[in-house]
Amino acid sequence: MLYIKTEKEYIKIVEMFSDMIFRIAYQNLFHTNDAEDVVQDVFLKLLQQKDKCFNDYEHLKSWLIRVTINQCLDYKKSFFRKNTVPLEDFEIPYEQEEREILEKLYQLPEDYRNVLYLHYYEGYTIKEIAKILGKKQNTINSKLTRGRNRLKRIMEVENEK
Amino acid sequence: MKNDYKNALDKIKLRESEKDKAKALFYKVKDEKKPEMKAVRRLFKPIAAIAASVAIILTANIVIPMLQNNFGITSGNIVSDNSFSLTVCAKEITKTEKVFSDKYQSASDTAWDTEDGGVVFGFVFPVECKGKNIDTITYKIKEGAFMISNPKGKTVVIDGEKMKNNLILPERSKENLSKDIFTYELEYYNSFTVKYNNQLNDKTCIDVVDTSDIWSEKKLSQYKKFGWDIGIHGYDLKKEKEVWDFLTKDLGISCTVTYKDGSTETKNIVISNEIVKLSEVCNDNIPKEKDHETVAKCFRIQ
Repeated sequence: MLYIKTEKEYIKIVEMFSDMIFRIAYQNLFHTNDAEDVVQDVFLKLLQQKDKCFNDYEHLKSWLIRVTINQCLDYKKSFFRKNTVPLEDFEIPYEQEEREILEKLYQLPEDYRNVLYLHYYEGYTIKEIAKILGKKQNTINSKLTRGRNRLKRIMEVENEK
Repeated sequence: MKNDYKNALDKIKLRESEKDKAKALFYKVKDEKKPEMKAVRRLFKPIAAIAASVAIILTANIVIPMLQNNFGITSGNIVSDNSFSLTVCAKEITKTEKVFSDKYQSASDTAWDTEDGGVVFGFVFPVECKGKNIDTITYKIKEGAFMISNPKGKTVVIDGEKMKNNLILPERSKENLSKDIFTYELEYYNSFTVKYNNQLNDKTCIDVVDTSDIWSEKKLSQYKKFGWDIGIHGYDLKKEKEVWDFLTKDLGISCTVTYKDGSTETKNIVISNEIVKLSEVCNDNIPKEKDHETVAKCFRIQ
């Protein structure tokens, strides 16, 4: 059982999961500062759960993923965005192919992106993704298939140009 | 493709300074029960693209009595039917009655701390002007700016003094402004004028924004003494109100109407911040367990 009572335990969790939260937020919002805001939000929400008991780190991770995605949805509905640097200026040393992939991902709806991320990057099965996101397995399967197909189609169109 | 995808995502890492900030949150949260906290620099709720307009309605009847003199000149009263009123959320703003932005407008307040210990903030300016014989309306702000978002080529502003554009200021998210995210324009004004019969169109949004970059050293120093993380809401409402009162006290917003006969009339708008229940500032049916307190913008005439 996992409680977050001490600073030491909390800092360990920040070290373990902050990059993951930022990655999910970034590929939802494609805006560095907003993604950073989401990270702070998520950890604040976690600290408000001091009495909550997680079964283990995997359980905590699933919770963090769900909260992060929900927080990104709230951000997308927000009035304000900061007048700060967009994707193009963020200094990540992408290779050309990597940058192209991200630009194509941006063209997908965020729920497709999230499913692709959880499956291909975090290694979750369809069943596990369905549980994390609170959706039916068929829905997740469908989004994964459609996400892959749309990405392929986008790349084919780009290659034709 | 899969490898490029993984390699690209591998490179997306949170900055160390942001990790440190997240770690420091541990001491900002106390154990006692508090209203729902948000670390978000913006409280967000979806809202229609149109900024609510608040019109302050000031009725101005000018009566000039003329006295009958010994030479038999007939006296009479001259009454102009020029009138000028301002409202917020369809409620008239007066000197005494507090009128609040509604929940969604309050929830759109945005603020964040800057690296030098300063602050940037913004909130909806829901003012609408109504009256008789009005030709134009001019809004001025002494500190900060009005941020006006319009569909491209359809600005309501007929004249204005723009703020210098190399400052970091909030901007409305493109997705929230219009489904067509590429055809809106956004300008910052120290003062702007609109025609009475074209104050807004259905996609115009008007906000007040400010940045400590234009403050005096003295004011910045005073702000730093609060030692407050402007991004946190609901943690200490009294302190939150105090900080927001500091932020809004020097805005110096005025509204001047020019009537068709050339005369003008000005009213000063005061914005303060009050701790209220959500149900007091919102018409939605809010369940009792969710009707927590918040800091809301309150509009008055000076």
